[in-house]
Amino acid sequence: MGAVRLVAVRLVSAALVVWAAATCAFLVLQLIPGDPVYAIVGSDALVSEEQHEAIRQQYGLDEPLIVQYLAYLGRLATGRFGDSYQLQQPVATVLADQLWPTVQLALGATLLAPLLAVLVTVATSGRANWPRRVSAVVELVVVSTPSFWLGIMLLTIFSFRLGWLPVAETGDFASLILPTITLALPIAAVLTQVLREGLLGALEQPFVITARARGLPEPAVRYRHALRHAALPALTLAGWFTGTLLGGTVIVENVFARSGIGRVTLQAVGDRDLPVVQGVVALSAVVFVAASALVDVLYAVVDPRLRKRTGVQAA
Amino acid sequence: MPPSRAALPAVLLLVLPLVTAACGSEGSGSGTGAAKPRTATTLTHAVEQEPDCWDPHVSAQDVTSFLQRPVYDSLVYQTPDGSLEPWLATRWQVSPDGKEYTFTLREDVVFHDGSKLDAAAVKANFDHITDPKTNSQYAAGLLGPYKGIKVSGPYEVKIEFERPYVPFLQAASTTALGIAAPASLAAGSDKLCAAGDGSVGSGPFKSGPYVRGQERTYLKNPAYAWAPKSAGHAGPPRLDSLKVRFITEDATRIGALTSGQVDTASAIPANQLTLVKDNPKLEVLDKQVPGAVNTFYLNTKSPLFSDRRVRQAFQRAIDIDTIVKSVFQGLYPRAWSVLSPTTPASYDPTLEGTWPPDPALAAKLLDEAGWTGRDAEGYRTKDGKRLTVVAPIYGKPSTFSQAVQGDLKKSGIYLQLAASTDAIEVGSRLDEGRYDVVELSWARGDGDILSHFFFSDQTSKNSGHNFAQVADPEMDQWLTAAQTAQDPAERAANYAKAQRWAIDQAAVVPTYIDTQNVGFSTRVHDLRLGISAHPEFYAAWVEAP
Repeated sequence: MGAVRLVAVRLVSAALVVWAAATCAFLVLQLIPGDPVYAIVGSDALVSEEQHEAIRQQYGLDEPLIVQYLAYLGRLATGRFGDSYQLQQPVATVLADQLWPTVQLALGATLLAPLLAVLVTVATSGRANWPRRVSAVVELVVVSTPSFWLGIMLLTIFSFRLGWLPVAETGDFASLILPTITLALPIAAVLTQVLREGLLGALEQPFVITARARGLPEPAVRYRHALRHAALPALTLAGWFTGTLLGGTVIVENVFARSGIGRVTLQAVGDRDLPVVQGVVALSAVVFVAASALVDVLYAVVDPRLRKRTGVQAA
Repeated sequence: MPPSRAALPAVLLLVLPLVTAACGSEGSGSGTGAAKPRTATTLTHAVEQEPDCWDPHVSAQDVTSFLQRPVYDSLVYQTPDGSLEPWLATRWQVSPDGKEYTFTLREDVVFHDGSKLDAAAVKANFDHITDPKTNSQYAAGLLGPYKGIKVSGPYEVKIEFERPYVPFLQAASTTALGIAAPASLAAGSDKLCAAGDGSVGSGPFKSGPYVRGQERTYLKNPAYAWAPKSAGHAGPPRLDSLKVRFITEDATRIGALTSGQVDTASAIPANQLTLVKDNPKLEVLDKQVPGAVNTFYLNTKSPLFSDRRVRQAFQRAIDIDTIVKSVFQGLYPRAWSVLSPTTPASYDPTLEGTWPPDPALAAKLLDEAGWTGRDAEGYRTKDGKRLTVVAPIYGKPSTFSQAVQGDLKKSGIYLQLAASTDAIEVGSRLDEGRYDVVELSWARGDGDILSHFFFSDQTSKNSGHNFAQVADPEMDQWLTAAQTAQDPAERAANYAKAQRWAIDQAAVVPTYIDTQNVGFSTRVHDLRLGISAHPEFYAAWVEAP
């Protein structure tokens, strides 16, 4: 019963987040001045008044705002977003076509960033101070480097100079490497900072002394015990980052000339292709909600205290 | 800098329509010398922009015309020097009153889907362009005073106009009026517009796989046997396939070229040009874009600029040579006429050097016009009001506009770059004449572009581009004479009068000539720039590494 309620609450709040994001997107786009018909036909078009009206009708732009809003929510609920102004295709088709390359990229970065963060953290949290210092400087540099520039640099070195990796090519794993690294590095750097902070704190806890006193080897102490304590704040952050990956792909996909949602988003914003923009907003809201739900589950995996039926609770 | 970007300042320049055929030649890439053409090859080209819509009948984007040229043939072919020769039409005839064009079609042309080109197919194309449901953003406008099309024989069509319309032949040579297989036109806009692989024409290349945001592949049309005479090659193309990759980021595109990941690349930016030219494995071809150059159109009806002296002062106050040199680093030459020198049989070279910068003259004219005061910032004033020239700009002002602004300040003129991202606000400003100057360029391989800018009925409200608000009977007469005259020399003489008038009346300040370039590997041979200054791949071949 408890579990069902939990899931229900979760679902309702997820729906609320998506609804709020979609509503914001709708309102903000209404605030943009100008007649959307020109966004549809272009400003040079020779459009007669009747044609103008026909286009308004076709896209439902002649309805009162509240009707447009409700129709929009209705479409949203059924997973349709209307037709793109520029691409002359349903938005759902446009996004579905572009989803896979972006998912590949985002998934790669989601796996790579925590992996890098954990490795670097554990490697630099020993007794010696200097690896930590070096790492901290590198992290700072990576975090403060615009990913645009980072991507160009990686391309210049590994693709243009050394010729090891290509500028994106469809379905080719080699072409996924550089974009994934570009997307993952800044996230990994922040995660490392948070994770190290937590790990160093945890290593000073009495349970670490106990573990060491029991004769556990140092890596086991760090990986199995201390890291779990350090992981919770990093996990929260990672969940948030995953939600924002879509934003990151806008830059990365353009620098690496990859297809994907980010590429379409940039073009849609430039062309005022409002249905596509609304679709992307709704999609990122869903991704965000899904990511935070996943993080909640992971909390329980990482921290036994958060599980319902564990012995730990009783202790 | 690609012209499309340089042109952003004005509302109409979101897109740069190019009414020229991407055919013809501007020098050959490198000699065909010792190397033997290898036919089993692919050429990969990197382009800086991906079309929103792939239907050239709909899109006003220059890049759509360029990238659909390999797929669609046109009735007429325009050679690099601007002359027109048969393509899908073997010959044409203009009625004595100049209102009717009769085209006789080739009988051996087969579309990629196996259907045959005939009069009905051509009619289907014109009907598609003029159908209001098509929402043609450009092609329909090219037809001017179009009245209708009639099938007058299995391989003969008659196209009628309300009045004599000589520019039609050139228009018929553009990709925008390219001829598609009728069945493909019926497939709906999501096939034609959204999916580039829905394009079915009769060109030397067929549409291959297309991945939006990434690349489009073209495959050789082995049946191709109807290339125009001056295409530089006959029969099927030498390349087995052509791949176009959309690499919007300059650094990435140039990097892909220098590292050999693509064979050719469009739009080498000025700051990378030396790098590419100095690379022994690369070469660069460039060509000035025909049509109307980047120009300031002075609103001759605005309170400020209705005084010709003030217009002249504006015209002569700007040190165009210096600004163009510093902003474009030698990539673009400065302009002396509204028309580009590459516009066929219409450019007036006698204007060159006739109106050099002359700040002293500008000062004298402004004094005469009563702009004698000075305000705290050093701008001239009259009755306490600052000498402000309002320039509506859609989007962000370009570096060039800002440099001009800085230069005008020296003469006490405040160029107000009224930037806005609201197309409607900018549009209504233009429609209502609430501006002093508009800056833009417009590519087209025909001097008739002047009519769009200076004919009295081509006001912004009428979807025209008469931003200088010229309403001069003599001008109308020259432009009409040019539109109706069959003799090229007579047309050129009339266009020359119009160009000179615009300078003399200080209705315009032409600034720089958009130039397009393509960087390519020395392994690529017989690559040519067409009249539209875009590369043409029909005759090209790639040497094995």
